[in-house]
Amino acid sequence: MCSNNEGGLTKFEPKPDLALFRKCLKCDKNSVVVTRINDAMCKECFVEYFTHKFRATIGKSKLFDKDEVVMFPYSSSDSSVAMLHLLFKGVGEEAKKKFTFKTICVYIEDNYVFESNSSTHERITFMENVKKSVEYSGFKFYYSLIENCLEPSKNIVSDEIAKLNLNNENKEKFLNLINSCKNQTSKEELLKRLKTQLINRIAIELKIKKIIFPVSCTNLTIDMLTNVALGKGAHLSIETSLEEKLSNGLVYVRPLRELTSKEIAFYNRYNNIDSNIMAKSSSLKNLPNSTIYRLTEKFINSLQNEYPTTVPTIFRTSDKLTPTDELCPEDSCMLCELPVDTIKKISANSSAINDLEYSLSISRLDNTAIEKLFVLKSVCYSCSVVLKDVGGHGNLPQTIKDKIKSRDNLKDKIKEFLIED
Amino acid sequence: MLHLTIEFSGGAELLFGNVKKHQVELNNDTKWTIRELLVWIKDNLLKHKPEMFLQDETIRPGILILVNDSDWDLLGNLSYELNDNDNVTFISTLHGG
Repeated sequence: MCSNNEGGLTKFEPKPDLALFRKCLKCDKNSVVVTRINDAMCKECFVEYFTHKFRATIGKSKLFDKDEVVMFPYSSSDSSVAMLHLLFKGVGEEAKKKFTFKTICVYIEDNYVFESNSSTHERITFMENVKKSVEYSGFKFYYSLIENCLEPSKNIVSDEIAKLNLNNENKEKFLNLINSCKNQTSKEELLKRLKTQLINRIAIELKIKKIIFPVSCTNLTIDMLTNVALGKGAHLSIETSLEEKLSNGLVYVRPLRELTSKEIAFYNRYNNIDSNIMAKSSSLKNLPNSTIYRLTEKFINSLQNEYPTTVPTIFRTSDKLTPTDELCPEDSCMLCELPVDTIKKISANSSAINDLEYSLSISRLDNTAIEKLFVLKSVCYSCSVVLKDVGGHGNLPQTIKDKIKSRDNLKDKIKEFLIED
Repeated sequence: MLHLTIEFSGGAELLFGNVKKHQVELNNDTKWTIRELLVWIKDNLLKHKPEMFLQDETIRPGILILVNDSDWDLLGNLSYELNDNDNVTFISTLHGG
C-alpha cells in the first residue's frame, strides 16, 4: 500500500486558528499578507518581493537605454501612487542598482470636469494637492486638463498649474461631447481613448518616445475580457503586452503588469503612501452594473475571491496570443490609434464584421456619416460602435476630424483606380 | 465598550462622506466579528448605495479588509472576532475612472 489515504477518507479539519500563526514563507516572522495563490509573507519580505518583481520586469527585458527620458502619466490612482514610489526608490541612494533612465511625469486632471457645481478654484486646489503629494519624488511634473484633447493647438501641457487654460468654454465643449454618448459603456470607452490620444500628443510635444503606464495585472485582465465584449479582439494581445510599439513611433511600456491590484494596495499601505491616492468623486456614479467594464470587473473580482488562480490564468492566456500579421500598423483607427481590423483581407475569416457589413449594405437606411466611415475603414470595428453612439460629431476633436478629411481626400483621389467588387 | 478605528482608503472613503478615519465604540454585550461589523457600518456609516460596499452579505469583491495591517485572509475572514483597539482598514482596489 503506497497511499496514506487507503482504507478511509481523509478528515478535513477547518483551518482558521492555524492561520493566525502562519509563518512567513521566507523568514520566521508572523505573516501579514497572503499573495500569489496562497503564499503568506511578513511585511518586510512582501515589500522586497514586490520591489524585486517590478525591477525584474524592467530589467529583464532591457526596456530603457541609459539616460533615456520616459514619460509617466500619473493619475493619483493606487497603481500610479505605487509606481511613483517604486521609481523614486529606484533612483534613490539606497537602491543597489539604480535606474539609469529619467522619468518625467504628467498629471491630467479629469475629475472636476464632471462636477458641474465645482468652481475653477476647487479644481486648482485639487491639482495643488496632487502636486504636494508627489513632491517627495523629486521628478519633474507637467500638468494638463482632459478637455485639452479638443484643443487643436500645441498649447496642451504646462509645468505650472497656474498657466493652464482653465476657461469654461473648453470644459463645456468637452462635456457636450461626452454627454452626447447614448450609453455609459461608450462614454467610458470614448473617455479612455480621448485621454490616451491626449497622452500621446503630450509625449510628442515633450519629445518623449516611451510612455510607462501603471496598469496592474488585475486591471489588464479586466481590460482584456472587456475588450472581447466590446469587439476589440484583434487588439487584445497588443493592448496587454509589456511593450507596445505604435505606428507614430511612440512606445508604451507596462512595468506593473506582473503585480495584482491586491499587492499594489498592500504595498501602498506598508509604505504609508496610501494617503496619496486621490479618489475621483466621479467614480461614485459608477454603479457595479453600469457598464461592460464594471460588470467584467465585478465578475473577475468575485471569481478571484473564490479562486486565486483566476487572474493569473486569464492573464497568461492573453500573454500567449499574438496579433494577426495582416493587421497593418499604418492603417490606424482614428479613435484608438490601433491597427484597423475592418479591412476585407483581415475580416475575411471573422464572420461578425462581414455579416454586419452585409446587413448595412442591404438596409435601406441612408448612409450616415459614421456608416460611411466604417466603410472607409478609418475606424476599427469597436470604435465604430462607440462613434455611432456619439450624438454630436461636430464636437469631436479637430485632430480626429482632420484625419477623416485627409482620408476622404485620399479616397477621392484614388477613386478612379479602385476596382469595384 | 469595544473601541475600534475604522479606516477607508483607495477611494472607499468616498462612500463615507470623504472621511478616512472613524473612531467608533460598540456595545460589547455580544461578540463582534467582521460579519456583524459590516452590517453595522452599512447601517451607521455608509452614505451611499449598499451595493457600492457590500455584495451578498460580504464585502464587495475588490475591496480589501485589513485588521491591524494584516490581511483578513489570514485571520478567518468574516468570522474574525474583533478585539478592543483593533484597527480595521478597508482599501478599495476598484477602478476609479
